[in-house]
Amino acid sequence: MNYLVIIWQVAFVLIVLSLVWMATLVLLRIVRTQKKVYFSHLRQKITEAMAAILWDETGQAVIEDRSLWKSQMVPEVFLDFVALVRGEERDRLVRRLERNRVDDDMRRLLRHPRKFVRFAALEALAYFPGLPTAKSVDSLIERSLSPELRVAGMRTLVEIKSYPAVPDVMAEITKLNGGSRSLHAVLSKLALHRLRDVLAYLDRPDITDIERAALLRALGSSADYAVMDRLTYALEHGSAMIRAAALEGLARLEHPEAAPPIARCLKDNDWSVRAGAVRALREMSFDGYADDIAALLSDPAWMVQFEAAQALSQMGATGRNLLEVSARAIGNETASRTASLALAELSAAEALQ
Amino acid sequence: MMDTVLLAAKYTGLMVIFIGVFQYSIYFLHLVLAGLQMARSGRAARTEALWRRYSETVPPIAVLVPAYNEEMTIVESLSSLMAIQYPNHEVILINDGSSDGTLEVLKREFDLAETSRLYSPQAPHQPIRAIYRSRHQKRLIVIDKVNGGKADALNAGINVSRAPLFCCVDADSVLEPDALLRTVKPFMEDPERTIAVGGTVRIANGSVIRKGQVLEVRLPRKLLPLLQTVEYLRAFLMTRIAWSRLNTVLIISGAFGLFRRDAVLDVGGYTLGTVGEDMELVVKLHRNMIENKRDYRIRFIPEPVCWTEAPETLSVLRNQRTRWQRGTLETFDRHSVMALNPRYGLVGVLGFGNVLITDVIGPIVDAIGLVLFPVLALTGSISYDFFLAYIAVMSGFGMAISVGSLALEEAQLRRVPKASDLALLTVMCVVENLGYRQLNSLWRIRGWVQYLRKSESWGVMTRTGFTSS
Repeated sequence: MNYLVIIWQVAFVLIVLSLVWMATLVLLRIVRTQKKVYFSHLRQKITEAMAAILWDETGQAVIEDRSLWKSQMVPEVFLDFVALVRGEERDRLVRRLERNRVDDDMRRLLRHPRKFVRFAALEALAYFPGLPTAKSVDSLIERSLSPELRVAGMRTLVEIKSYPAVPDVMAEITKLNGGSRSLHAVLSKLALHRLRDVLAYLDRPDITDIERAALLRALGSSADYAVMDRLTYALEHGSAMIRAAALEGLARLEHPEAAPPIARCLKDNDWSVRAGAVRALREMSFDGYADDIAALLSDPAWMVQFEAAQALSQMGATGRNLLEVSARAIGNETASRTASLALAELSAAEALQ
Repeated sequence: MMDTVLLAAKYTGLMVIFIGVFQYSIYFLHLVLAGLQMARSGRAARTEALWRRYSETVPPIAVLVPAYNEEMTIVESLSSLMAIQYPNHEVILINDGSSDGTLEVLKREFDLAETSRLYSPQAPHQPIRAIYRSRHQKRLIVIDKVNGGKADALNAGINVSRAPLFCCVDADSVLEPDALLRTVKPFMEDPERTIAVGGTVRIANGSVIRKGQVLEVRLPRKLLPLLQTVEYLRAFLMTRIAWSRLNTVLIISGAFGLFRRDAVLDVGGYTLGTVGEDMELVVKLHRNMIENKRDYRIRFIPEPVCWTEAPETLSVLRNQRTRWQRGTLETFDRHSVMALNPRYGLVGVLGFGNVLITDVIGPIVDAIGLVLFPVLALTGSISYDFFLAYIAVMSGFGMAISVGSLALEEAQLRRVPKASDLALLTVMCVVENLGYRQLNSLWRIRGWVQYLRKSESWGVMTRTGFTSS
């Protein structure tokens, strides 16, 4: 057959196929519109049932229509509902749902084929701590191919205080090239509640720079001053990323004796470390290094100038005086411009108040 | 002599057909990749779920809104941006030397007071006259500067902003309330590597919009915006998602995009004096990252929706398309070293290769076909199959691709409100290929001509405003 014939015939077939596909989708849409009405009704029924359980005066309400609670919509409706009730009422709702084995139904939904249903179930199960939930979530983390679901699972484990193993979290961080912000939040919780495991992992000789940086940042959330030595030691590391992470950790730790090692980083070769050091001193309100910070108003890196100006602006009279001196300085245009703008901003903010 | 001319014409015709087949093979590949990507990412989570998940950890975002002579609509646009669902954002409006009363309206409506702000002069722009802060909207900052164009205004905004991420939004566009929450997702999941994320832009003509909010999504009532609706679906839901999967997205619409500030400042911000500043910036980002051997991601996600008003008259649409073509050619010329260059990986070979075939050579080939084939057919110089093969390339494959994009939309997003609207859009997918696309090719040739003449005009872009919708 002539290739020109093939071309127009292929086009013809593709047009017909695409139109058939589209016609099917239009028909499906009509069906879906009907289903949407059904789901909206179902949502309403589940919400009403939850309200009935919560406000039942006898406290003995038993769910009669079990099929309603097996619906894929239950976790989602539960999350919306639970956002509206707080404190004792929330606890009561959870207890009563547990008594009616609704949490079992939700755990079963962790095997639902739809990802968003599994996701909602994972989040909802954070309100139902205990061994069965921990086991189900662990199992989901093991078998799930979706990093999003695995991270959500780890968050749920942290929320029910059944902490995931540090190597598992670190493996996820490595897989995700440094990890998501949620994963770093998980690691911070591990540093607070499983510090020994975190330190043991940090002592491994084979960890990558990305892992080390994540761990050092998390150590700041450990609320244990004993980790200060490790963080201070990391300030001497060859990698700027690790030095910056250690500074973040020190700033979070807020140890009163952290100022001298942080201040030494004001003279670091890497601008991100210098900026991090100024930020850390500002966050910890260490005003004793005002002169060193003022010297950074003429730093070649804009971010360092900016952080220095911000730090001085927040220091009260001392910082303001130094900004005024720098603004008037002759022969140092960069420092003068930065300080003038910072002073103008300070005055404008005061005027607005 | 006549025989030689006819033979040459026939061979040219064959070339037109084969280039067309090659182009559509790429489009079919886009369709498959986009389908795989959308199936993999699944349906988007509801806003409440996103809110629960991200509210504590989202990074701050500066929303940059360049405005030039927008006194009629600016208050409504800003009010809608201030009310957007995001826990940590500030809105920076850049009044780019408007000659109407834009600044006065803003001063009056938002109770602006002159302030000062420490900012970096890293990206080049015209001088800033003053910076204002609203007394009652703490998150609103207004920059008044000397006129310099959109890229210039955005550079001023980038310099003055402090958030690690910035989102550029056109003053006449409307964002869905959860657009930022959704767009920030890739930055949350892969904060180290993600440097830019684009979202879908849709046509607002016909929808009910009040006070900067889309109250009811409806299809446009006029033919031209309806045809553009199909066109936008194809561009956003097929091409960009496919390129996103390969990390070769070359354009993030100037109407709505989220960028990492430090990455943009690394390349000196937006390039001044170009009409295609949005594409130019993304290509610059790719180039900088690849040349410095850095691991990075530029993503496009289908869900976040920014609504924009499409041109309703042929002359305005022609100006817009001519300008887009010029912008693409300018960017291609400026970064031509990347084209088909393996050193730039998939971006150079596939991304730029596609620009070369579709945007640089494409309009010329289309125009040759449009002139040549009617002549050959009328003189009886080509066979029936030859002519049908050309019709297949000119319209047939295009219909299948457009319907395929609409099917993807319906399978994954379902933003078209009703089944009857879907049916109407399906008809438009067919109609679009019977004249409208060919007209577009001719406008792109006009863009080529203007580019060669080094024209710098933006053309007139008349908008009727959302309130009339």
